[in-house]
Amino acid sequence: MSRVPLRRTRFGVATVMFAAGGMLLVPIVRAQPSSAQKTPGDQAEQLLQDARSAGADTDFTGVVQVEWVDATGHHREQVAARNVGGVLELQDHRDVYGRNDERLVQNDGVYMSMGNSHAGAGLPSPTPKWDLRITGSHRVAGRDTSVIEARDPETGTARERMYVDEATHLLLRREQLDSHGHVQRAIGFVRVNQAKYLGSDKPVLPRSQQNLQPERLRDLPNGYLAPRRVGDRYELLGQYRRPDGTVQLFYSDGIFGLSMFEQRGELDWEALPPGAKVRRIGGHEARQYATPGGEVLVWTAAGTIFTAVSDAPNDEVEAWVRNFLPKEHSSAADSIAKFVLGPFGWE
Amino acid sequence: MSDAPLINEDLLSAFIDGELDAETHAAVEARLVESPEWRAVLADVAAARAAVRALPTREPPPRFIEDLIATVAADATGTTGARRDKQRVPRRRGPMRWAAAGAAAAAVAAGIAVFAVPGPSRTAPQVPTLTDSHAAQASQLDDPVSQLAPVSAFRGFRR
Repeated sequence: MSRVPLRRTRFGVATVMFAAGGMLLVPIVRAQPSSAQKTPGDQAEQLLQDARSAGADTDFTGVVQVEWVDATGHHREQVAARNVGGVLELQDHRDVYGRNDERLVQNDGVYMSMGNSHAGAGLPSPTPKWDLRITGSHRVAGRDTSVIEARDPETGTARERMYVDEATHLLLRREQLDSHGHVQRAIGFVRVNQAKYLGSDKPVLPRSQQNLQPERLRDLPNGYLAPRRVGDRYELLGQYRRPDGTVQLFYSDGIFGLSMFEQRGELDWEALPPGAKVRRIGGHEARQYATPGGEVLVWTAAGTIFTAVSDAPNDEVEAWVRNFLPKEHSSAADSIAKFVLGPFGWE
Repeated sequence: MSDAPLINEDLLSAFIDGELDAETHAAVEARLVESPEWRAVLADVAAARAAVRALPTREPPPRFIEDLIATVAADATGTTGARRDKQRVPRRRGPMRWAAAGAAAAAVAAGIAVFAVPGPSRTAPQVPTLTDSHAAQASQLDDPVSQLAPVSAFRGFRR
């Protein structure tokens, strides 16, 4: 595979002019007092922001490998990816398209329109919670990258590692790590090239046939929980109602995203997909799934079915979902649990 | 960054139980051979399981089951604590007995009504759709490729 420089489409000229201006300003900047210099955390955060926008703005074609682990083993899948003219196309088992705020996901031949704009909400800064720093460089898919780590400031353990292309700022790989620093999920290019060099055309966005786009909500219906901040510095960025009535709350801590889905009704445990791990969370029975995109937890309390979906590590998710557990519950089953386990202090 | 297979504690637990297919078992075994750190985790998992299994089994005390059933029944009819109280409070007679009988009849009628009237419909969340929805939302603020590639890669929840 030959290494070909990637092309930034929208900001190419602006970048050159900015760079030229920047060269003129170098002596001035250097003359500033040291307090004006960016901290390592600021530099890492800036690079992360650049990487996030480069993912939408950079033309490329390549192959992305997705790896995850569950109780049945280590899984590895590859996805053909290209982004040309602002349209992103991902193809493997299910085709996925993205353009601006549009997201189309194919299921059994039907394209579903999903997602909704966060209406100007930006991600919160990760630095109040995470020790963000550029830790070195590494080669990914034959390209030089800068490595950003988000570390737990108390333990010093890296929980997310991101590899950013030094030339284009495209995020070439990200790894999620458990509390011991072991990689549990990884998504990264194994091959990436300039779209123009390979003569790749702009993908054609399929026409949406089923609209699952959620409606943005200013206020939630009575009885739904929507804390403004949950877990360890996860902030509420948007609340939505899906076409089936399910309410979605979207949170982020600047590195990881979390969605809480709430729907009224009695949970039919038998109708849940197989392959779950049975868990107990705060005294409630739950089902947990490990997917390539993250963890999923399903449980029910007080007539509401909760489904938490997150790309955050397990321990972060568990701390977060406790904000949605009722403090009091008094079913007959709970009475049994209290009577039996109370003397032993198990609950 | 390495090409070694990813493993976690759930996988090690399945490894100990012999629940993995031959290929996965061999992959985990190879990882354990090369990683003293994961061997230590395996030892921890095995020790925790052994400790739980070594807990003694105990016979319940006399009347345990009867007391448990009485407690739950009392709880369900909203008279928590009645079992304990009856040992020290003299049994009430006369008009109170008729009132209690009336309350019991009302409880039975209420129970019949509850079972006769259809309750809320049983349902289950569409887990695959919700995971897609989360990825779609996250990809608008975060890096779109790394958020959406797992959606494309996943064969989905098999039923």
